[in-house]
Amino acid sequence: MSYKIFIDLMPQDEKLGKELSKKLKSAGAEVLPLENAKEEDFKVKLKSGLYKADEMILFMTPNSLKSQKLYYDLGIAAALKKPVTTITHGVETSQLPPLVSETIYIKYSEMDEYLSKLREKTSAPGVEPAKTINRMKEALRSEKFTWRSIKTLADVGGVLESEALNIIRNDPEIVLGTGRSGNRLAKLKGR
Amino acid sequence: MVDLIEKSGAECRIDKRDFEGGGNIWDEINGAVGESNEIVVLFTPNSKDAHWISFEIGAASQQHVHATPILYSVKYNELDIISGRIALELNTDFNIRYLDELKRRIVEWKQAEQ
Repeated sequence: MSYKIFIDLMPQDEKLGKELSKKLKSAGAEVLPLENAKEEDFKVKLKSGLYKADEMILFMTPNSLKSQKLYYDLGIAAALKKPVTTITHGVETSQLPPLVSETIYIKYSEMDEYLSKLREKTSAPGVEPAKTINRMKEALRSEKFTWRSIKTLADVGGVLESEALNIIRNDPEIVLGTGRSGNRLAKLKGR
Repeated sequence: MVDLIEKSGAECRIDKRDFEGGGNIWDEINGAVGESNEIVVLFTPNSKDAHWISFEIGAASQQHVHATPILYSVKYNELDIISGRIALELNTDFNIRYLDELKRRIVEWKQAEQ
C-alpha cells in the first residue's frame, strides 16, 4: 500500500510545491493532488485530501507565516491525529510560531535525510504499529538516558520522525519535552 | 463573557487562564477542544490573526464541536476560516441571542446525558 502525503501550501507557493511534490514522488510516496492550492472551498478540499493522507506536509514560506488557513488546517490535522512535517523555505526557525515548532520541521534545502528515510519506508514492508510502540518504549526505559530525542525514537521504531512524534503525542504514558537546542524529546511519565 | 456563560450553567475553560504552564500548546488546545461541548471564539482586532485561534477552529470543526464566532470590531469578511458559520456581534447578539441558545443547548446536553 502506498504512503500518501498531503502537501498544504499557499497558492503563491504552488510552483515550489510542485518541485517538492516531485522530490516526494521520487522517494516513492504518493502525493495527493495539490487541489488545496486554490482558495475556493478550501475546507472541503482540505478534508478530502487530509483524510486519505498518511502524513501532512506543511509548507512554510514567508507567504504562509500569517495565513489563517494553514493554522486552521493544522488544527484539523491535530484532531485527525495525522503526523505533520513542516518544510520551511525562506523562513528562519526562530520565526516559526509555537504551534509549528511543535511539529517536526526541516529546511527545504536540507531534506536529504528526510527523503532517504521516506525512501526506506516506501520500499520496505512497514513495521507493525504495536512493534513500533514497544521498541520506542523499550528505548525510553534505558537506564542510561531519561530523555530520548524523537529522531532516536523514530530510528528505533522504524518510522519517520513525524510518525514517531505523533505516536508519542497520543500515548498517555509518554511525556514530550524540548531540548536546549529546540529539538523535541520524550520520556516515560514518572521518570 | 465568561461570567455570563458560567451564570448560564456552563463550566468554562479559558485558554489563557486554564492551560497548564509548561504544557505544549498543540496538545492543550486539541485536548481542551475535544473535551468541550462547544467553543466560543472571540475575534477582536488583537486576536483575529492569532494562530491558535485558527488552530482551535480547525480542531473544533474536525471534532464536530459546536463553534460560535463572536465578533468585536472585526468584519466577518476578514475571516476566511469562519466562512459559512453564523457569527454573532458581541455588542448586539451575545447577551441575548447567544446566551439564550446556550441555555437551550445545556438543557439538551443534560437530557442526552441522562
